[in-house]
Amino acid sequence: MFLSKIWFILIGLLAGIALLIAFVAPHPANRRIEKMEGLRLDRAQYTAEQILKNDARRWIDYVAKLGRDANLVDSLDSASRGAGELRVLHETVRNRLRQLVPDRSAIGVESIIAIDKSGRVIARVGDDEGEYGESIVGAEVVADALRGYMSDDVWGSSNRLRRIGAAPVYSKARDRIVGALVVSVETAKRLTDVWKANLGVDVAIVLRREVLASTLPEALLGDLPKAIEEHATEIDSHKRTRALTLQMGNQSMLAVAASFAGEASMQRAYYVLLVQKTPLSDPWALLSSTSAEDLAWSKFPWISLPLGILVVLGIGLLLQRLEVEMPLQRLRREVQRLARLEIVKLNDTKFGGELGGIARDVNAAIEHFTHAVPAKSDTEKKDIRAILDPQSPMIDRKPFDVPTLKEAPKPAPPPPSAVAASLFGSPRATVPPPVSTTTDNIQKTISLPPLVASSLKIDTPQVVTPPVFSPPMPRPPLPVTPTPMASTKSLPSSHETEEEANDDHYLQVFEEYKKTREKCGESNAGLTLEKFRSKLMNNRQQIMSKYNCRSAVFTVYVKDGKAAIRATPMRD
Amino acid sequence: MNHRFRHRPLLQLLTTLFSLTIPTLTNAATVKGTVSLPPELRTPRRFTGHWRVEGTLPMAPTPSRGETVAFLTGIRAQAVPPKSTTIDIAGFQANPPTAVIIEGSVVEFKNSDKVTHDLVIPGQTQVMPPERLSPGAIRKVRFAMPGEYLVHCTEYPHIVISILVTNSPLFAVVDEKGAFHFPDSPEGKGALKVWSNGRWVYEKDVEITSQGLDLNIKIDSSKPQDSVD
Repeated sequence: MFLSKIWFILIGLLAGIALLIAFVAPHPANRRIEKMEGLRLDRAQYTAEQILKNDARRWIDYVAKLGRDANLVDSLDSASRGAGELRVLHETVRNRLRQLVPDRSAIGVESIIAIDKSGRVIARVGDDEGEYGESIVGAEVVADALRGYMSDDVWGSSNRLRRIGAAPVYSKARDRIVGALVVSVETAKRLTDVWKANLGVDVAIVLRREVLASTLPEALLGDLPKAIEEHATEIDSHKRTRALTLQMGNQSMLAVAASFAGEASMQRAYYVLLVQKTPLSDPWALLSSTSAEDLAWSKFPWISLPLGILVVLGIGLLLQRLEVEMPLQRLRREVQRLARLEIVKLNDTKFGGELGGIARDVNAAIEHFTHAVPAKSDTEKKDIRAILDPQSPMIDRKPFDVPTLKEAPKPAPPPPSAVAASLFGSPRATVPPPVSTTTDNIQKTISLPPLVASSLKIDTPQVVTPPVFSPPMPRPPLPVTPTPMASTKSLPSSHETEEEANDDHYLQVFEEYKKTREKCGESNAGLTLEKFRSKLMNNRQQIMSKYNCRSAVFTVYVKDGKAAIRATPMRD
Repeated sequence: MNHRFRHRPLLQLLTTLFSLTIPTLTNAATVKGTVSLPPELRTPRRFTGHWRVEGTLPMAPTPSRGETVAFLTGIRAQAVPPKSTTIDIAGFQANPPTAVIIEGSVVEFKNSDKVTHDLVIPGQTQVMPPERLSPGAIRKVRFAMPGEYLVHCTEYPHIVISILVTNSPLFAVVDEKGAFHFPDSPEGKGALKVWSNGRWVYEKDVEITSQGLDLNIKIDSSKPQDSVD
C-alpha cells in the first residue's frame, strides 16, 4: 500500500496547497487593489488641482475682460480722480455690472466688486449690493490688482469659502490703472457636484472643522473634519495627504485631502476626495461574486479540470486496486484453498505488509490448533490401555469411564482443516462427528492416546513400553502420500470402504506422529508404517469390542514433551 | 599786588573741570543707514493663489507701510515711560502693521472695517486670547513683558500685526527708501537688529563712537534670523 499512501499524501498536500493559495492569494490582490485605488485618488486629486488652477485663470481672464468695458472704465476713472458724486458713480457701476453679468448664479459667480485705484469700493453686485465706499485695499489680491497684477486667492471667511479673481482696470489710453474688479466664485455644493461628475469620485469641502458641502450624506461625514485635522501637518508639508482609510458608518472609504490655495490654506480649508474601498476578497466573497460569464466555456476549464480530477482519482483507485484489493483477493483464494484442504498452510511469503501478517497469523493459528492441548476430558491423558483396561497399574487412578451414550467423552477436536472448512463453508470439509451426541461433554479435539512402536508409545510416558511389534502384516504397503495435513483428514467418507478409510486414517496418523516426534526431538528410526498400522488396528479392535462402538479415531498430541497417540471411540 | 593773577590757578582748575564735563553731557552720536530687503520681503503678499500675472503696465513698487524697524540693543539709554498705542484695522489692513512699544504699554485695536476681525496671538493666548472684534469696536491689550508678539486675524490671515515690546527707546522705522536714522544714539557697544514682516532678519554687533555710524545693511533672504531678545 506504499504507492497508494504516497499518492493520497500527494493529493492531500495538493489540496492543502490549493486551500492555502485560495486563502492567501487574495491578500496580494487586495493590496494591489488598494494601491490602484490610491493611485486613482492621486490622479483625481491632481486633476482637481488642475481644475482649480484652470478655473482661477478663467476667472482672472473673465474680470480682466469685464474691466475693458468703457462705461466701467470711465466710472472708475472718475471715482479715482474724485470727480462725480460717489452715489451716482455707485449706481452707474452697479447697473453696468448687472448688464454685463445678467445671470451670475448660472455661471457660479457670487459677487463682483468694482474698486477705484485707492481700493475704495465703488459698487458691487451679488452680496451686499447696497454697500459701497469702504476700502478693501488691504486685501492682498486687491492690492496686487491695483499694482497691475492679475491674481487669484481663496477666502474662507464668515463660514463660507470663496475663490477670488482680481484684475486691474486700465484707463482708456491704457496708460494707468484706474481701479480693479474682483470676482467671488461659489465654492461649495456646485463645485462638489461638478467634480464628482468629472472625476468620478465623491467630494467633500471642509472649512474650520465643518463640512461646507459634500456629495455624500451628511450622516457619514461626522468624523471627517477631525480625521483630516489629524493629518494637518502632512498637508502643510506636502500640500496633500496620502490615501487614507476612513471608516464612515458601515462603509470603509479611501480618501485624499488637500488644502485650498491662498489665505484659505491658513484657515483649515480642505477638499477631500473619497471612494468607497473595495471589500477585502476572501474565497467566500470571491465565490459569491462569481458570475455566469466567469463560468463560460472560454474562461472556465470545463473539460480539462474534470479530466484532471478523473485522472487523479483514477490513479488513486488503480493504485488501491493493485496494492490492496488484488492482494486481498489472492489471500482470500489461498484461504479458500486452505478451507478445501488443498493446502495445509498459507504461503505467507506471497503477501506483503499487513496481508502477509494476516497470512502468518492464520498459519500460526493452524499451528496452534494442530498442536494445541485438547480440552480436559475423562479420557484426557489416558493412554489406550487405560481406556481399555482400567485396572492397569500405570493408568491414572482416577476413575473414568469410556464415554457412553450418557456420558459420552468429549469428542476429539476437529482437525484444523475441518474447522477452517466450517469457517469458510467448504462443502467437502466435514467436521468429525462427536463420539456421543447425547451429552455436551463431547471432546471436540481429535487426539489419540500415545501409540508406541519399537519406541512407539501409545501410553502416557509412565506406561510401560510394550515390546516390539510383531512382524508386519502381509499386505502391500500403502502408498504414503506425504500430505502435510494427512492427519487432519476426517473419518473415512461414505463413498470409501471402511477398511480403506481406516488405512487412510492410519496413514495420516502415522505421518503426523512422525512429524510430532521429530518436533519433539525423538528419533523415528525403526518406526514403520506396517507396524504402526498393525498396532492401531489391534487397539481399534479392542476399543470396539470393549465399548461396543463402531470405530475409533486416533489423534497425535504432545505429552510431556513427547509424541503420544490418543484413541477416541466413535459410535457413529 | 595784582588780584587777577592771585585767582588764576582756581580759574584754570574750574575751566579744566568744565571742559571735561561738557563732552559727557553732549555724548550722543548719529547712527544711520539703509536696509536693502530681498524681493520676498518686499512683496506685500503672504499668501498666493495659483496665478500672479503681471499686467501690461510696469508694476508699481510695493509701498512701504512701516513693516521694517531697526533696533539698537545693548546700549544704555534713558528710559521712557510706557504709553498707549492705537492700531486701526481699516480696509483689511492694520495701521501701523508694526508697533514698537515700551514694556507695560497698552495697545488699542480698533476695527474700522465693516466686517468682524477675530484677533489672537497664537501660542500666547494668555497675553491675547482669541476674541471677536466687531465693526467699530476697540480692544485694549497690555503688554507687560518685553518680546515680539504677532497678532493674527483668523478671518483674514493676511492681517498680521507685529507688536515689539522693548525697554529701550533706540528704534527707528525704515522708510520707503530703506533708510533709518538714530539721531541721538549714546556711544557704546551694542547690536543693531532689523525686524521685517514679522521676524528678525538681521543682527550685527556695532560700536557707536562719537563719529557716529553709517551702515548699509543688505538682508540675505536665505538666512532667516530667529527671534532674539
